[in-house]
Amino acid sequence: MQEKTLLIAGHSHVSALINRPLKRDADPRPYLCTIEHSSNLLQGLTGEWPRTKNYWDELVRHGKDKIVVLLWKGNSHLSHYLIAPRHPIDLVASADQNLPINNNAALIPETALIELFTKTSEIDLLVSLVADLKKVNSIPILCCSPPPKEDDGFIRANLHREPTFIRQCKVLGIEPNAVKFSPPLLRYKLWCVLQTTYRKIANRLGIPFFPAPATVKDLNGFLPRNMYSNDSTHANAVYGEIIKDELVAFTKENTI
Amino acid sequence: MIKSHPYKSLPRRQYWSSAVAKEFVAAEVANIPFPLIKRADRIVTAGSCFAANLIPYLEKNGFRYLRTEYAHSLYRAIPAENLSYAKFSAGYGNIYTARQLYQLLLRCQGRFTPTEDRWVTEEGILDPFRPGLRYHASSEREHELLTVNHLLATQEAFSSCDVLIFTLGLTEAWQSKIDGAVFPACPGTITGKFDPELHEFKNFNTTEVIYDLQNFIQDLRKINPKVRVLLTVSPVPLVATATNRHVLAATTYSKAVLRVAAEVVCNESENVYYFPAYEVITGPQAPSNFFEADRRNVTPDAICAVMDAFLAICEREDRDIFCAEHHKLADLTIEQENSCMLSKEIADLECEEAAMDN
Repeated sequence: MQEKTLLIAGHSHVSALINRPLKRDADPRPYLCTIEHSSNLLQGLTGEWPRTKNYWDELVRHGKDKIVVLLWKGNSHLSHYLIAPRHPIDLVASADQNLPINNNAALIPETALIELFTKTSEIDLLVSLVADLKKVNSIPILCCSPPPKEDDGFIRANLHREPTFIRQCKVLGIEPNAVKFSPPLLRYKLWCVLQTTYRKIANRLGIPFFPAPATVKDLNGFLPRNMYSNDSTHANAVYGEIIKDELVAFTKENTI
Repeated sequence: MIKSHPYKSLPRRQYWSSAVAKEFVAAEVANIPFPLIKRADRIVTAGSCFAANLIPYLEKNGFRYLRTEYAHSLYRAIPAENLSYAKFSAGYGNIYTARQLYQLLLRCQGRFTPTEDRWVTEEGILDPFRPGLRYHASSEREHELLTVNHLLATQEAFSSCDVLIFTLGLTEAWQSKIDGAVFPACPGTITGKFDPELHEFKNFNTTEVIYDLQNFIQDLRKINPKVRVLLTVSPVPLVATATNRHVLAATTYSKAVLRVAAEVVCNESENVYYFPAYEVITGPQAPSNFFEADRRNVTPDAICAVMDAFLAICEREDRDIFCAEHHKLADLTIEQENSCMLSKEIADLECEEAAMDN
């Protein structure tokens, strides 16, 4: 039986998997590329940012009869909580429920976070995209997002090089050096809840969810240092290579 | 010769003809030393759904409504809690019976731990004592921690308030056959599963309601000696009765018991008062538009009438305390929004840059 092609697409985390640099002044239109991989089964769809209707339409066109791996959003845990709220929060993530709790923090129910992350995941767009992909005999898979980075020093140094961050701090009247990050353990728990959210969304849509494999986590569940990209939220090509191998294995094991 | 008798020199408000048949003044019905509530008093409310109606009026009029458990300001983007869990001082929701209130205090103090303290279902771990929670626990550990936090917040509200207002709602309840733990709703109605082996109906009598109220007040005073307690009876009839009586007769029984119990407890305890919300809304002087068409739910007009009478006997001056607290809260919210906005800016920027690299 001929194996199906895996077409990798979605939001910004595709950057770790599609190692085809695109210059800022290059043609931003969606572009189907072959991804180098021993399986010879991988393709990627690059293109305009922010993603437009045109990008998703092209994905449906190219996704016919293929497995479409969707890297959907994936940063909600950080886009809400990278900077520590003044009134601290904590939670119990059902995926790893025995982690320590900060008794001085407000305990947020996981179900509330799942509702928040679902709301910020452009779920309506995902629902219609998955429906359109199924119509063209495509098999969509919802893919995990990278675990968070533990190293606050790395994140701070990186942000201090970022003019937009400095400018935004000024607008908000915050001293950049005084910006406090949420504790790494909280970032990890929030990431766990985001993955639980994706699993639930995938179940609801009747599509498989590809969870983060153990090989992209260190002993504490964080992204290993050698998989850091040059920012606070994304992973690099080392991470991408592992995910590609594991994705191919996942589709074979689950006869997708 | 004109005869003299005890009714001769009674004030106007003690004659039906002058106090009810005409010129009815709701505030006069209350028998409470003025002011009922002082400006600086921290107020906690609990009780049936009718009790929740008081809160917006208190807050709008600058009184200090104490909240010790509330949704984090970062969660305004998602729907608020169901039912009344976000309305009261802590997230206990509606408390219909005196027994439920007393058991809540005992639970806060670790003196009572219900055997049936969770319902494990496919959708998560549900709290039998807060069965309508929208944001329930996903795991047993989370359920335990959320419950501890909730009980601590409730204890803080009870121990730090100056005035506690409790609205008695019902005498009918469902309880555990194992340890008598009273559920706010019959298991299986809002959620959970009714099990005749585990759950039984209970219709409290006057002695029991008095006993529970007195025990509650006595134990409350151990942690908050100066607290003043204000009792009211909800005018809202029973939605249904589990007795074999007509629901109207069951309602009359229930309200009569609660009203008598409130009177006895007020008479026998210091600093415990009764406010006649029930009389203002259900008395023969009340206009027909105090109840909705279903003759069960009270209308905004009725609540206004009650609250006008209520506020008329409260101290009303100096908005400074309220304003200072309000501004403090507003500042906190802005700062929290800033942290969230900055997190989002960073993530958006990095997503754009990452996307440009592929």
